[in-house]
Amino acid sequence: MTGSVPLTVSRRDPKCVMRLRRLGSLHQCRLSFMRILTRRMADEAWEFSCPVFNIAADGTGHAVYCAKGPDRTYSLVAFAHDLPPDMRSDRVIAEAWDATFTLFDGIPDAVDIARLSRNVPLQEAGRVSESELSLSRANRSVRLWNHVVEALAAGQQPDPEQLASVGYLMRTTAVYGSGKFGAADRELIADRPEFAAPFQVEMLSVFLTRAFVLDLVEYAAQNQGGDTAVRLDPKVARDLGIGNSTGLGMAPFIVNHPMLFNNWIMAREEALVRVRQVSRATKAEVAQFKEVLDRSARSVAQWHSEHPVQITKLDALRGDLDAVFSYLADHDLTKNYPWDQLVRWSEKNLSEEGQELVVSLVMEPYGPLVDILAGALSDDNSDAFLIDGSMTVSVLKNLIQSCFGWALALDWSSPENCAHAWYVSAEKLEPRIGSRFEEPIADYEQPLAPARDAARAFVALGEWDQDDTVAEFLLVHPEHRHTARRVQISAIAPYSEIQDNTISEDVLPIDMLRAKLSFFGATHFDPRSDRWVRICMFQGAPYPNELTKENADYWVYPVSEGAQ
Amino acid sequence: MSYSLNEVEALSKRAARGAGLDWGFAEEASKATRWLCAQDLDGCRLLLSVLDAYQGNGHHTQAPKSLSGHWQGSMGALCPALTGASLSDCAVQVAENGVEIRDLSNPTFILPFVAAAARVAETGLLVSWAGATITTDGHSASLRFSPEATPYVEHVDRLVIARAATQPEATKPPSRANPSGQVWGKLNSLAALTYAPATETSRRLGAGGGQTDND
Repeated sequence: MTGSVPLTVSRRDPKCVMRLRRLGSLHQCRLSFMRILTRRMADEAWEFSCPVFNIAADGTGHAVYCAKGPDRTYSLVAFAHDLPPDMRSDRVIAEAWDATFTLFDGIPDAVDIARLSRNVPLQEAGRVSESELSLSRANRSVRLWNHVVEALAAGQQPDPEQLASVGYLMRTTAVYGSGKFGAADRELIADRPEFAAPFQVEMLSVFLTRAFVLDLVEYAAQNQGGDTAVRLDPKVARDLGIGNSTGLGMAPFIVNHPMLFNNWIMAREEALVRVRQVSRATKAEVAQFKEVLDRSARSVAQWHSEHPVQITKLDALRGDLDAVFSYLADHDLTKNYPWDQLVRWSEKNLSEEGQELVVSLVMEPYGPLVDILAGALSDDNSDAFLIDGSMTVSVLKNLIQSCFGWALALDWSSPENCAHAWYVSAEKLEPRIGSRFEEPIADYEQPLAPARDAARAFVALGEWDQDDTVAEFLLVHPEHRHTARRVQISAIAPYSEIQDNTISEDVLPIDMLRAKLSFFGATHFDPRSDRWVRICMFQGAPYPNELTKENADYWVYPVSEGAQ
Repeated sequence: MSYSLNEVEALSKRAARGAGLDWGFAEEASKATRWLCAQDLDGCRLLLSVLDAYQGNGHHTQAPKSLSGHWQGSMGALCPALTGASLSDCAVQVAENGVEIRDLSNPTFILPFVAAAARVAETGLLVSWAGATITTDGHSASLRFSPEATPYVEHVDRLVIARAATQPEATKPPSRANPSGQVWGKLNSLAALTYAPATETSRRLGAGGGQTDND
């Protein structure tokens, strides 16, 4: 740093970061929940085993996969089923699956297995207990599954093109944690270091599920081919992740957990600031950046979608990558705050997809600066929920102005600005979005339009004496209570609110889904409509028995063929 | 059946909204229910009683008419969820000066809100009504009832909140709730009032289907 002027960079403006289009362009990064998990397990030398693989020749039965950390062991209990083709659906509302799972807290005994076998296969219609941490299910990619079984049974490796076009043998639909269907509350396990970061239970469950799926497909091939059958080439197996279909049920999450979502975005933005403040990059750091950039370009090349919006974004992203390569050819990254300059350049020259990819990639050489922020991702401040009623009306109004200023100018009665409403359907008990003016849903609207509600509260506040307290205001206007809470949270959590209209005519719920899934560490987002998205998890990751410190982190970036 | 506290909170929020509480109140009533369960009280039974009284026969329980002097309603009993929300809004004032509440329905339901005030003001608070003395530091609570009193009393004429001289003993909170099937069922019925009936359009468009999910 000697001789150079310290650079003052602040975190990016929430008014830019929290737009839906940008949230819908986020990519995984060092702080993604899957990578936090694999790094920790490798650092702590977790041990993995499969003490039970009790699957019959027809492919049904159960298996247990154990993950042993420094203090505790967790076990994925997997049930394999014989699912008739006509019942195979990825919709969260399905009632039967190819395989069902729970993550057990400890090592299950025969009594546990018997109890779980009566409940886990039923998913929502069954009950789990405090001993279980998650509940999930998966279906085969029928196309790829059959091809892989047949190829291996015949003693051959499957066709790489077919593997690449799907990317997974099974895809999960819901992975439930946090007390759902009777499982243990997050609060019960949040003080365990391995579960301090968000969604670690769910990620561990999927990581072990992937190992089970590999064993199951090889077992099916063995049954079919006998002595002729071969195992899947480990290099090929690595490229298979676990697919996931995610629908509207997940979209409200980031609105319903403003403090938690703030912490995710805040950690990423803080990581970016730290990297931008690096005055000189070493040659090793530059080389590492260039390597992940190359590998990331490979990943983008393998990313396909049929959704028109995503096709356009992918075209732009591929152009962006070309532009970044040209930039690197012309600029020496070892001098003068190279990452800050690259980010500034990207903001002027790249699409949002490209800008956010650059943000994720510049963090890669800086594990020591960035990874520690994983400790700030969870929400430990549950009392931020409490309203400070001693605040004056004037201060609350100012907070609304600064967080939702853009929303105050909008005509919220105009149909295009309130075309949609979020509701919970009686039939499926799942969150849905519908057309306010075409369906009878307005009376059932969920509070998922914070900007509109803030604009309404602002009008009501304007009629009050500015020195009155919020407590007095809310006594008369309880309908603005949830808004007062959110607005006060926004004062301490600048990234808590989406800076867009979540009920507008052109809202794309897939943007909300992608924002959340990118923090999981998902890749290859493939929207199948405006309302649900397919992704791939753990693609490229080592399997449990392959996990080392060397491969625990950068697996998300595909290596070139020559390097394999 | 044993339920996780997250299940309790999720259902309570929907039930409170179904009973007609504004969203902000419903959010707080659900956290209050969870807190009560974590004190080994039947939070679900208490919530149901609160919601029944709120909905009941034109005699809606209500919010205080003013936040100065004694807190009371303008023409009927106070609802502890609405009154409790105001208590936590006025946490510092309540902790400093105490408050007397008149004509209150389901007084035990006010405890989580007093606990919130105690956490904000970082002080122990004492809640008392005929036959009941409760201290809380915000995290745990110590409840003492006379032989004829019960936490499930449906109404008290007078409840007083004041600074506590003693702190409750820290206890290991229960991690599950065991509401009766009847109470759980009634909360589910209230929650169902928040669900939009399915229509042909919503079946077709609701989840945004359209492409196959079976390949």
